[in-house]
Amino acid sequence: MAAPLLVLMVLALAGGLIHVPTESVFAAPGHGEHQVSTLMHSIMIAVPLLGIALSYLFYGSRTLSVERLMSNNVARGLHRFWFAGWGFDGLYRRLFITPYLWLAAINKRDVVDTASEFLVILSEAGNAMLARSQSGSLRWYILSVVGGTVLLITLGGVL
Amino acid sequence: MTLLWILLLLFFGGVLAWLSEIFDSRFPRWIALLSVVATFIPLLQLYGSFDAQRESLWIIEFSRSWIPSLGINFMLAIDGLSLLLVGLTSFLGIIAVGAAWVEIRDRAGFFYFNLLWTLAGVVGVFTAIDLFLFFFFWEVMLIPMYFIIAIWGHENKRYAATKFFLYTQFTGMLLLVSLLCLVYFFTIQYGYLSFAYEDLLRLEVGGKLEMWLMLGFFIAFATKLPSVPFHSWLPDAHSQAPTAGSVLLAGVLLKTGAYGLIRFTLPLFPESSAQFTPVALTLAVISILYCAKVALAQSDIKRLIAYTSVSHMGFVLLGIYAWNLIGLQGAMMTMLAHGLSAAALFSLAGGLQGRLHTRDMRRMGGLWALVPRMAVVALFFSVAALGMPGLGNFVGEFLSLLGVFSVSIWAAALAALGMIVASVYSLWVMQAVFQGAQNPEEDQALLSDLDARELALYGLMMMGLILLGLFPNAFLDVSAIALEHLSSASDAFVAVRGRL
Amino acid sequence: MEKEFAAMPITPAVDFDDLLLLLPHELIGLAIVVGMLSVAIGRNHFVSTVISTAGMFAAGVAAAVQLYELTMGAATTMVTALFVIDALSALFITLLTFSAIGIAIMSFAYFHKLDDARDEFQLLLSLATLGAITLVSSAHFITVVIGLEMLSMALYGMIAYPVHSGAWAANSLESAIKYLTLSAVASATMLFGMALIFAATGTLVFLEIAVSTGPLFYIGLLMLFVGAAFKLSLVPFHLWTPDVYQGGPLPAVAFLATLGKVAVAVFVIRLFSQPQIGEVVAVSTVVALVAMASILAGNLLALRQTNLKRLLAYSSIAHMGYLLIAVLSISVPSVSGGNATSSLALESALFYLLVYSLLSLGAFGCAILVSSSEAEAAGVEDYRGLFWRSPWLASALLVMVLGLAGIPLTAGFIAKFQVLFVAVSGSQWALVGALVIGSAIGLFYYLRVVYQMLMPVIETKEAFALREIGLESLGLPLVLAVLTIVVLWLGVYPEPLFTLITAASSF
Repeated sequence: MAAPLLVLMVLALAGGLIHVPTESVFAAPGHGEHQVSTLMHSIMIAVPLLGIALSYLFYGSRTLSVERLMSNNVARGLHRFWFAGWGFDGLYRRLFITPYLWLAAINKRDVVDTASEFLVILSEAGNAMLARSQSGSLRWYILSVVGGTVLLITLGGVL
Repeated sequence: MTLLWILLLLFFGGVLAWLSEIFDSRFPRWIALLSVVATFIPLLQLYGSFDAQRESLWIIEFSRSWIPSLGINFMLAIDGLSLLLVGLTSFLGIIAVGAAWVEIRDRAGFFYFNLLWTLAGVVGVFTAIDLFLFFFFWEVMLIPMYFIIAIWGHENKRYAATKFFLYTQFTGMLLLVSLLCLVYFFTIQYGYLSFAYEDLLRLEVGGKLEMWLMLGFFIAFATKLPSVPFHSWLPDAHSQAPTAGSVLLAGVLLKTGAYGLIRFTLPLFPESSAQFTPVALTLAVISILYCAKVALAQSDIKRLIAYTSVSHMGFVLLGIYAWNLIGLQGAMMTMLAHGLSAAALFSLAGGLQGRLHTRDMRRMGGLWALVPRMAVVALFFSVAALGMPGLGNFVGEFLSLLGVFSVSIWAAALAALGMIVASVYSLWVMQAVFQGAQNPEEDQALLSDLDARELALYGLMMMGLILLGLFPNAFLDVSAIALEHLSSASDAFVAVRGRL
Repeated sequence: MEKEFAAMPITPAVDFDDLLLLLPHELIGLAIVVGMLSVAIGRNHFVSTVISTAGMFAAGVAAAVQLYELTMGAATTMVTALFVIDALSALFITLLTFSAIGIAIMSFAYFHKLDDARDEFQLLLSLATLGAITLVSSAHFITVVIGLEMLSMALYGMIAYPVHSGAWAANSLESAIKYLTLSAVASATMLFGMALIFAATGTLVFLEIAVSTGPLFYIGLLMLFVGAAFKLSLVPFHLWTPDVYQGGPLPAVAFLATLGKVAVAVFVIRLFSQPQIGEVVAVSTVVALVAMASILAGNLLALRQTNLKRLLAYSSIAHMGYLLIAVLSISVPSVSGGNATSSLALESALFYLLVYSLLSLGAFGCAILVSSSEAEAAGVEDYRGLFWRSPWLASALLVMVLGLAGIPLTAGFIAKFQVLFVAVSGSQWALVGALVIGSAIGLFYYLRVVYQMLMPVIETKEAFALREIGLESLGLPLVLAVLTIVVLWLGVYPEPLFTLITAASSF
């Protein structure tokens, strides 16, 4: 188990020194613009080493006590925050997942579909209205013929 | 002649399949399979002899006088675009017959009759270049599909079948009115009646009227595609249709809408289509995002896949209204790839329903342990649908986005979000159905995994998707001339859009 | 008055050629007389049917020969001032007589088991057919009235025919009384209209009406239209239709729905293709309104109807509305000048009429096949699972219903397509809208019938007994088969009929 981890560790620290031939794909970086200062380089190399040293002091030599550190409130909070991956999961949950699920849930039945239902209701209303005229009684039918004649002649006169 | 043969093969194959039921209930499916496979052979031949340097637009044509007193001819023709789509139709025909193989035991003869007639109608739609003939096939393919849903559908089939028929018929009437107006103007301008595509292309209507006519065409095709807000028939039709019906609907019928837009709406009405582009792109983006969102809320697995279909067809609409070669190629590739992946997903959903007797995902879960082969197949098609590079869907959607990027950066950016939400629902389905805890209330111990027939079908579709993903040029080259011709022929379109 | 009569070109004597031209009418008349005599000698249902069928068949053949000669270039002839024998009348006499034969065969099966006088129905049928063919070949208002009354009188008898027993008996009587009363009102209106037109123009030969305007003429024309609209059951004169359809015996209703309407429609088409009449704008606006109202009301009323006969009644209201779209466009001048549009409108009106009568006859024929005078399959429910019980019959009914809905592969589609083309060419956008909306609503109820047929048979519920195909009904499936094949054939290849109609419309 240890061997591959060791290889990875070394690579992680010193891998930057290996030259990757990407000039053919990406344009060569402009000179001077993206040069990182030597100070930055030093800090970047120093930080992981500092981490190794700290963890040695905590877990290797036990010079520093984990329990004592954890009794501090600030440290505990910081631990929880880091342990939760800088709170990114929570952030995503709040920013994306919950709103998206909410958005999905509010319109499960697809409001667009109501448009077609509206048409069905409209035509059924038309049907109900007209169906009442089919009363079956002869006097009303005669009236409709006579009334229709008058209506048509009037319309013909008006138009 | 080849085209006529394909049509006749399907029409008479259908009749024969129906009649053969009298002798043995297993005959119809064999006859159906044979006829569909037989249509595939001349298509392969056409594909093999395809010459990319060819001068003429059509690969083959067929023309006979039909109703001369109305200027109607029986004209069929095929170009690269139609060839690919007819190929897809024929291929999915085989899949559909395979999907129905054991599912349909009841009145099998009539089922395969309807199946083959639907296919014949679709092939007719893809090859007709007389607009009356096109409309004729456009309507003809709906009736057998109605029967398939209404007879072999599930619990709510009456509602679904009627809704499907009414939506498509009503918008078909709008198409007919627009078409007749177009022909009428042609008659006034040129002095003779004609429904021929190439004749009508010469007509320039212009102005407000052209916009109205274009809308008639657009609504009919956008309903079939479907695009928001004309999509609400699709989830019902899909969830109620038998598996083979869903395969045909999602795989083939939806593509006729896209085909209509590419072949007819934009070339016939270039000016108004150009003016309409912002609206169409907006509808496409809304389709992609809105339906992806609605899909996530569904618990019926077929409804869910149906909504994802609408979402994916949004990319097709996007690519079409980009109206440049890349966008159109993207639309075409998306059609092919979505045809395969949606057909496969619906088959899987049908397979699940056949085994569990439910489409409710809340009653599923943890099926991986019980049906591992099915789960792996489902995973494959899920990642295909979410646009995994190396498979056809990625190529299509990528090209669509690329095409539309040069037209509208906003539309491209928003549509690209669709690829993210696609992963959300695809993986969500996998989790809900195959992973997690098994549902303790359901007795699922005796579930059978995929058998050889099913594996062969899914294998075919997987091969197709990989082929589309790894060798897209084998398909893009075929459609390039046709699409190039279509998109470059309408100068008016480019001119108008340049001003926007 | 005398002066005006003298002006009419009445041929002094009827010679042999004139008699030959009226051969169809004479043959049916002869068959009626022979039929009456044979009933007097002895009742035999089969013999009466054969006599009336033979008469109509002979008349149909005679008319077909006339039609052939006329399309080959024979001239249109006026037989006295009363009749006109042209390709239009010959075409429709052929159609009407052969339809009537179909109905005669249907009614033979339908009445076979009736324990009462059955022969008179065949007589009435022949009489009504004679009325119908008189109407389509009329050139004079007198002939119109005679034809219409002959048709209507015979129909009263047919609708009231005593086939039902018990509580049912009242139904057919009720519908006959309704039809009689209302029809009388309509006929009176029509007569009054004719009188007004006569007063305005001085002629009763409507084929020779010269240019005439003025209020009298308008009102006369409108009243004439009211009478015709009643017979065609157009809104607002449609209320009687479902009641009469529901109550009458099926063969009588089939006759009323096909021949009864076609004959009147041909008269209306003739009237409207007179340039002076068609150009009266006010009339065509009123007609357009009637057409729209009929399409919408007919379809909406049918929406939730569960009785097949009533459903077909409402559907016929809508169909007559569609027909009217083509009719009122007959004389609309086209933009490019000339009368290209108007001949298209005329042809499509005729085609629509032909197809409608075939579809309607077929639909009623299917209903008759599963019905008899004892019990009618009237509810849509009765057709549940028909497709599985009796696939051939169901296929026929399917073709008819889909045809009425205007679905491709059937002639109904071509007919609707043409009407739509006419409306679009005339820029009649309101009518186009009504047609589109109407057919969408129509689909819904036609699909309900289709869906019922496709549903699985309920074994527990006693299925409506299919008629045992015995000797008495051998002809009926044959008639249905012919109708189905013709409807499908015309749906796929309508060109021959187009050619024929083009010839017939150049009268």
